[in-house]
Amino acid sequence: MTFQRYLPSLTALLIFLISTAFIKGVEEYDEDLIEVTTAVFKSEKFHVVVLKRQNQRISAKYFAATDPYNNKTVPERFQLWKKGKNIIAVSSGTYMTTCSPQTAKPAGLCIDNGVIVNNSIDSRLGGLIIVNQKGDIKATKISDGNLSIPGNNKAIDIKNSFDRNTFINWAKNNDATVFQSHLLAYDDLLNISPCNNTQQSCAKKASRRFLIAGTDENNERINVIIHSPSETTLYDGAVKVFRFLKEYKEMKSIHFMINLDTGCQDVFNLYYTDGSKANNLKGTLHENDAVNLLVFHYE
Amino acid sequence: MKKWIIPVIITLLTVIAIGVFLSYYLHRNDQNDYRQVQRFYNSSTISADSIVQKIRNKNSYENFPYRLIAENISLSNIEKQQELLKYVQYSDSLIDNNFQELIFIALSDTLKKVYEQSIDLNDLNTLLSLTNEVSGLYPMTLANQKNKIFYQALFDYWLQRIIQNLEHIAQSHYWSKYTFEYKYISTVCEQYNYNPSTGLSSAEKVLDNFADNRYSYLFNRFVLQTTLLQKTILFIILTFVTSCVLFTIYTLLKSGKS
Repeated sequence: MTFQRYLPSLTALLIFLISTAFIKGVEEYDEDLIEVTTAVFKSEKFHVVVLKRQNQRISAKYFAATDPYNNKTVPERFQLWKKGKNIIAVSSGTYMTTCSPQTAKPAGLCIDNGVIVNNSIDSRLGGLIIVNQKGDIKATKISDGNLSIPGNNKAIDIKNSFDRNTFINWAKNNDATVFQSHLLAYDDLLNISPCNNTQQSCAKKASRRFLIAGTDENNERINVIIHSPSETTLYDGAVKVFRFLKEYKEMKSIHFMINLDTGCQDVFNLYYTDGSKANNLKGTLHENDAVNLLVFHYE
Repeated sequence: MKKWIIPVIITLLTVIAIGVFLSYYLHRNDQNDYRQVQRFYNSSTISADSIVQKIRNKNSYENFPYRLIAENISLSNIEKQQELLKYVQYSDSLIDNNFQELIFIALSDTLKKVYEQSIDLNDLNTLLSLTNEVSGLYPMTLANQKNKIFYQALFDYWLQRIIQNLEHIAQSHYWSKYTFEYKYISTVCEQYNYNPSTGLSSAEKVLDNFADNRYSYLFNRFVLQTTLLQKTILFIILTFVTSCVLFTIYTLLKSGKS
């Protein structure tokens, strides 16, 4: 009789425990696929997040702008999208035209999930980055003019208006996500020149954050996010990080290295396996203030 | 009247007639397409079909009168654009789709020459007129037709040039981006999702952040981006200013009591 009286409560407790365990299980990701370290190389400090991509469990997603259909901002879109997903890291992506979140637009050609955000090519940004439906990130060097898209035999030169429209129409029809950034290294070579003019923005010193794609010493595909806290110019920062990756991390190849904006919208968060945020490695702005977000998640 | 005058006049007239006939005949082939296209743009009596048929028969795509079209075309003249579209559609049936691209390249290159020789694209007023002109192409880029990519590319080509020049103007004349013309052009371009990117100076970034009440961000940036010496100098200045203010208040209160 006593047992029967407590049966509903015990059942409820059991369901609660099971559901809690289930929720916790959803938030976890495989720790072996992520490596977070802090290293000092030639008296420079680097915070390094290595994401192993060989078994396609880690994917990328880019939010470029407010959704034109429902007016949800980037942070709102991210909060909705991330439900039920294991987030590993979030970072601000490309540069914006202003610092104000209300008016800021991504600099350079930008397409968000097939929706045009910015049609204009920014000639100062040499890399065109494509985040495909599988969550892979690919970069092409715009000056090479040899972008290939499925179903088009001819190489596309994005600088040519006719080709660019062919590409944009393809991106629209295939819900592609595209943005531009500084292409600092490409095909295992540095792709940046020293700044000659001390008045230009290239001479400005700031802490830097880079995204790299390549293969590690075991020839396995990786993405690396490197945060360099010391104040450097873009050129100096890129050269130091390139050397660090080649000499210290012994990366076999660097497919590309792009800059992630740490200017007006310095957003970065690293999530632990239990879903909590790392306090020792983060940007100066909260995710809710983000104007665009590059997200790495585990599936 | 002398007897030889009449034969001489007849001979001269004959020579002139032969000369006129020969020059007409020799130049007819060159002029024909040219004039037909000119008439095509000036009236509705000549059909696009006849011109295309003519080119098809001659099989001479290299004679396509790009320059004439470029010079006669007004970017904002939708009617002419539609006629040109018809022409392009027919032309497509002649050879592969690359012909569209050839026409686009030829048109944009020729228009570039025509515009850049005659106007200064680094002048904001001229750029504003061109922006209004190019806006006229926009409806054609939306039309649901096979060749809309031709118009999209042409529209894109000109807006891209406007954006580039706008950015160049803003970089060479800093204050120009606060003028009405600049703001108007950039607003029109943004309407079509072409966003000029002129970069921001440090002062503009600070003002932007102040306007958005992002004080903690500004404080963080200050802490991160200044040297120890700069921080010390600022601390000394702030201490001095605070002391002055406090001393003034104290003095005022004291004088008020007495």
